[in-house]
Amino acid sequence: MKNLKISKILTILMLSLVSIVLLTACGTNNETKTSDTNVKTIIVGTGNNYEPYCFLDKNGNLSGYEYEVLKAVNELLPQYKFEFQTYDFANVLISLDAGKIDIGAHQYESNEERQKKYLFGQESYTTYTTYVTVAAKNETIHSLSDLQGKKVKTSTGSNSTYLLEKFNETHKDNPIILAYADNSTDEETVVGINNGVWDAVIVTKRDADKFNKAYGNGKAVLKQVGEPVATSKTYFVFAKGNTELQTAIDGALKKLKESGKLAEISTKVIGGNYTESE
Amino acid sequence: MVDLFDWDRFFTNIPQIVAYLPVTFKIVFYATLFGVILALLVAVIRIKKIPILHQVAGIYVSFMRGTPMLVQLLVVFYGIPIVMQQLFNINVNRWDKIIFVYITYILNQGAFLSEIFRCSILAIPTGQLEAAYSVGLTQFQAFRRIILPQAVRVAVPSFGSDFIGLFQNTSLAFLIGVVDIMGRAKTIGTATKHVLEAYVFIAIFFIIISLLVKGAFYLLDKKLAYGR
Repeated sequence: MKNLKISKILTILMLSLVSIVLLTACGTNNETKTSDTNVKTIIVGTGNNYEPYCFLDKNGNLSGYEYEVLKAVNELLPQYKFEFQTYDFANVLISLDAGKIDIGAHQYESNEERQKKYLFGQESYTTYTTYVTVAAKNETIHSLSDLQGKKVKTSTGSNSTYLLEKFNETHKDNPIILAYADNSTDEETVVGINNGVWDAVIVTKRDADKFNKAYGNGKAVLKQVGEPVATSKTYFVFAKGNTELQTAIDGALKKLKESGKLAEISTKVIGGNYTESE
Repeated sequence: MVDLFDWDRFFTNIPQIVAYLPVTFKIVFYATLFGVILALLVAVIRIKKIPILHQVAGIYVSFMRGTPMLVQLLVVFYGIPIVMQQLFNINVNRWDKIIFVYITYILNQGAFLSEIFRCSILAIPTGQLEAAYSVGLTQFQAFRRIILPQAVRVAVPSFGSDFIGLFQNTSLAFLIGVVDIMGRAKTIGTATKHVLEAYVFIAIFFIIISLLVKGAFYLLDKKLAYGR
């Protein structure tokens, strides 16, 4: 008898606890959605760990190229209101899958695997030509095939990882060793390559220049060798079927290119015009 | 190579990281507050062996204790929206990310603390309860006056070490993009290209916190040691 009473009380308590949690959560949710009905809120998912594309400034606010470009895009599209959410790189596309965000913006190159799952914009907004990048003192690695049996620093979900995996499929006897180091910092990359933790990393020329400038103390710490691993461009990524948003943003990007605004942002934020060619 | 560590950078980083302390403290606060309530419920359910709830609680506790916190965070972050959509047709995907962090840490703490509470209550010999009944105390009175004061005393040391662990675990929240002090350290590293100073500060901070918590629980433990 007594036990029955207690279990009843407990059930009620449990239910009220759950509902309290849910209600408070709902409350915060509603607050963020009190904009007028004509303007649709679009959540942009980007990173916070890739300077100068997406990073947090001194005051902890999101800044960088992705942010500036999308802000300029938003100015041309008054029917939308962009809100920015930051994730670590590997979680941006997963969040797009899960419907947590509407746009993925993290210097995404297009590849077959990604095309299958996501809708890519038609208008690119940066070029992305990547090279094998090794320590400045390295004399043995001159091309991608020299990396067979060597350790290359990569991160899950990146296009470089995808390309290296493709390379390995055809070189099963002596594959490139992929060393996954998710959300590591630039400093870790440079130090790790210089003291032999990794043999190489696949990055763009402007990223390598950035490393040399930041850590070289006037000298080069990294160098790029061989032919480009990939000559591609970066696009905004949308959920499959969201063509309305994709067309709107493509249109805005086109206008920004024609007016020279995109080149201006690129020069200002990245330090060069990387919108059409290197 | 430029210097890996620089004192100037160390000191300019401090105010920027400290500004994010409230995020860390809030996670700890909510996780402890609601975690304790949840843990008490679970502990009572398991001690009383209430049918169905007892089994559910058992699975819940062993899942929370048996899987990495990282996995739990991702399950809550990506899994709860799917469940809510299927069961109630509510879209919770656009909730603030910090809410998913709170839920994860509350659930995690609820499980760990429930085991601490359960053991502490079971540690009190049944004879005492029988003695309490024999002098005419009701079940609630016996629990409130005889069992609870002693059980709290048993629970305090384990609760203390769990609490320190909770502080350190908050650093996982950055994975889903919630910027706490750990996340801020990392993002400073990205923005300034130098991360070591920020990490060193975080390490010092966690050491200080753990010493403070340890000291506080030591005092509490001493205070509760009546009759010894």
